[in-house]
Amino acid sequence: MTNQLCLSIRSSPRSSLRSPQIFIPSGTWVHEATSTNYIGPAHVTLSVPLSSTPQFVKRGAVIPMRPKTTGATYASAISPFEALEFHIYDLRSSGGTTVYEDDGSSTSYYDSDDFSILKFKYTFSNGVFEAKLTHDKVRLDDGLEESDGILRTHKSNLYLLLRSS
Amino acid sequence: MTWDRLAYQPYFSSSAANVGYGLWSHDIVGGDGSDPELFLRWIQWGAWSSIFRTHDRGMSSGGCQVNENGCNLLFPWDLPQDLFVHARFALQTRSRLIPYIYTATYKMHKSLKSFLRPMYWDFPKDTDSFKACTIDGEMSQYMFGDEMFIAPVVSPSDPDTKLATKKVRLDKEQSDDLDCIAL
Repeated sequence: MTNQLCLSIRSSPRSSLRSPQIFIPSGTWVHEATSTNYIGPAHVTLSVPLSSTPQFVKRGAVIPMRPKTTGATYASAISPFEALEFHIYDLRSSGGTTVYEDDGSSTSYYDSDDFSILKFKYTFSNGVFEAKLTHDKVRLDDGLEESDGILRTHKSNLYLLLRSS
Repeated sequence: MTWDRLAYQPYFSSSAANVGYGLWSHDIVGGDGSDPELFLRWIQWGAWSSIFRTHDRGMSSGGCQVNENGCNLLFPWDLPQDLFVHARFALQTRSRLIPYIYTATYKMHKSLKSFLRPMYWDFPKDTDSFKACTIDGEMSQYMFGDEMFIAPVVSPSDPDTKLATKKVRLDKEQSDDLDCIAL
C-alpha cells in the first residue's frame, strides 16, 4: 500500500533557455521570433528556447519565401516556386526584392541563360499599398506569370493574393 | 561529436568566405545519439547555413569508423518527439527560405561574394563585428545573404536558467533524492 507521495524534482535541459550575447550591427534589425526591433550598434542578451534559432532581418527588407506545404520538410530548388510569399519587415513608403529561379538541377542557367529573375516592388503612401511583379527575363517553360504571390506584412499577418497576369 | 565541434562551425564556415570558399558544408551528426540537444542545435545551424546535409554512413568522412556502418546513422526523426518538432520547424523554415537562399546563391555566382560571410564584411566600421564570431563559439554570428544575420546556438543549455519539471513517483522506497510527504 502506497503511503507516501514522492516528488522528484528533475531539471530538464529540454525546456531550458540559452542566453547568448548577440552583437547588433549598425542599423535597425527585426528579431524574427519576436518581431522586436533592435537598434545597433549594441550588444543584447536574448533568452533563446530550444525551438528557436536567432534570426535578425534588416528593417525594411523584403524576404521572399514560399508557403509551407505538407511534406515539404526538405529543401530543394528543383520544383518551381508555384507560390511566393513576400515578407515585409516593417512596411515603408517603398521597397522590394528579386527572386532568381532556374530549373534547379542543370547548368542551362549558365550554358543558355535559361533562368528567370522576378522583381517585386511595392509602394505605400496615404494608406494605399501597391505592389508590382515584373520579369527581367523569362525563358523557363514554367513562366512565373501564372504563379501567385502571397503577400503579407510581417507584423499584421495580412495575406494578400497577388496575381501578376 | 561534441559541443565544441559545433561551436567551431560558424567561425569556420564564415571565415572560409575570406578565401573565396562560399559553400562549405558540414556533417550534421548527432554523435552516438546520447545528446539529442546537440543534434537539434546542429540541425538548426545546418538549416541556416550554406548547405544542409545530414550525415551518411561515413562515405564522405574518410576514416570515420565507429561501427560496421562507418559513422553513426542519425536522422532528424530519430530525435525524441519534443525535440523533433523543433527540428521539423528548422527544416520547414529552410524549405520556405529557398527562394531567398537560392537567389542569394545566384548573387554569389555573379559577384563572387559569399552569401554566408563574416559580419565585418558588411559592417567594417562596427569594430565589434570583428568579434561577433569566435573560434570557441562564444559568439557565433554571420551574415546570411544581404538581408539577415544569424546567431545559432552552439552550446548546451545554461544550467542556471533551467526550468524544472516535476515528476511524480508513487514509490514505497525512500530515497535521498526524493522529497516525500506522508499520505
